Amino acid sequence: MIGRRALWCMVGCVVLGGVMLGRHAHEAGLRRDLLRADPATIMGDPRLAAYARQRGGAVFARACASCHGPGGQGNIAGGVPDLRDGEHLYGEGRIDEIEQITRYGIRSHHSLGWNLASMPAYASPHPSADKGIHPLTPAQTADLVQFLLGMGGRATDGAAVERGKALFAGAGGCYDCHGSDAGGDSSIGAPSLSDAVWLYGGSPARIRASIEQGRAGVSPAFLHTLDPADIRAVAVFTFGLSRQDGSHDGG
Amino acid sequence: MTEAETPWLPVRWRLAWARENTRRSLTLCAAGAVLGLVVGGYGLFTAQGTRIAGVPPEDVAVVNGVPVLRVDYDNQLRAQFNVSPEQATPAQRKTVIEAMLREELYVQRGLELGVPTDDVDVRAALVNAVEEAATADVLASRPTEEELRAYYQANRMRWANEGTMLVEDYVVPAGSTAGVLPAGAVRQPVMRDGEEYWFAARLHLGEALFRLAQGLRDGAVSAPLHIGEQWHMLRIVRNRPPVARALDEVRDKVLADFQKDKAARLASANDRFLRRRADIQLAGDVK
Repeated sequence: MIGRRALWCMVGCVVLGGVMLGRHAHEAGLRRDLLRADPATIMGDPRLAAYARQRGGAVFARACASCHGPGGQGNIAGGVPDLRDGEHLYGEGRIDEIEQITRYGIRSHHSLGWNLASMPAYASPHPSADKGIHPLTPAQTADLVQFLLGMGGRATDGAAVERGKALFAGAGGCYDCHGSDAGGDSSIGAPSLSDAVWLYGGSPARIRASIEQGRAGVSPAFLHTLDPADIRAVAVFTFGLSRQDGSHDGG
Repeated sequence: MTEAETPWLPVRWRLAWARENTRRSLTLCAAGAVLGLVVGGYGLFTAQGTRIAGVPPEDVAVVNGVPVLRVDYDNQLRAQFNVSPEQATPAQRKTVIEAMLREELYVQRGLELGVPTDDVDVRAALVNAVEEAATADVLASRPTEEELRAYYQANRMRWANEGTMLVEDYVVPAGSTAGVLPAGAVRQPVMRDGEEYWFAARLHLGEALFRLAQGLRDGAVSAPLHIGEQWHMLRIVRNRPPVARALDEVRDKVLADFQKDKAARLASANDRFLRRRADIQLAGDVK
């Protein structure tokens, strides 16, 4: 015998089930559209962009914020880049490039990750395993620091700047990755040394430490830990962090 | 069901519900079964890797159950033709997908043929890939601040800066006195670069002289040391031993080393696990 309450319960369950099924179908549709879309066009589709930002924000908080900070502000102590400044060490900051980094990482031990160059440790017997780069002396390191400070008008020793310049373009081998104009090379992840952005800090001591001990930042490969839609969504979210002005060119 | 319980139902329905009805019971039973089958079937046939589910949105193809990732297809289009998926022509898409399908088919055929057993390059690549996969998993997890701090405290000199030294090496007559450079001491040119990092000073002075030098302070003159045919004395102009850096100065290095150590432990555990579960039979002469 079925009472009135039981009947209402049944009706409620059916309605709830219907709503859940509808939401699931809607979510599945958005997920499918997000994955099948050309990353360059996502920001031009308000429906997909909103969905990706909302989903990506949750993923960012879960998987990325522990290093990059909750707002993507980075951390100079750990060499974690500020994702809001529009500076991109690898590539030009397109959504597909951010997605590639999220999926395969940087020096992540995944064969498809970025792993083309590392900053040599010049205060060591063998600064680089790959190239015939020789160690520097403390005086040469100091000259290079002066040269780099000079890029931003902060040098205090003109003669050291000239010696550092010669080292940069010669025996130090710095030009090989950073370019002869110190403008960097985003195809191998070599930062520009001529702007005001310093991944590990721009004080003389921090620059000296970078030259002496080398740098090799790591970003994990989330290929096996995040859903493909989460990876794309967090790439869209991250792209949005550096486009707070509202510009939408995702390609 | 009485009238008092459900006054809102028509009398005919109340009477019908109250009666025992085998047909109704069977119908409800069947409806439940059908609903269960629908829900179960939906879950079963739309799960990843199910043949009937079609190609999941994250893939461009599924070859014998193995997915070909859409993101790899997109990247291949960019790498090969410098176009985005939207800009690609049908011919460009066909070229890329055909190449990817061919590669997947050949990989699968290679496994069927037992290529990993015969080809030394494939074997090396597989070993490397398994090792790297374990390390990649470690990198994807992050230690807590407490774990990192404890690790740093336990190994802090690992991230000390490189010491620097400006030292003069003299060849002196036998019987010279510690602390005083004798007249006639001949300065050696090995430290011609001036101030050096400790590692370079060690190379230039040699191990014995460097051990003597590293503990001396600025301005000190060492005791004479007999090396080969000659007596040497060192005069320390400046000596800056390595100093441990604060955690915030070397956080990236500490984290990298923490994860490297963890990966090494994991690799070792993997070795043990694989050996434990394997059936390995050794020939008598190699036991």
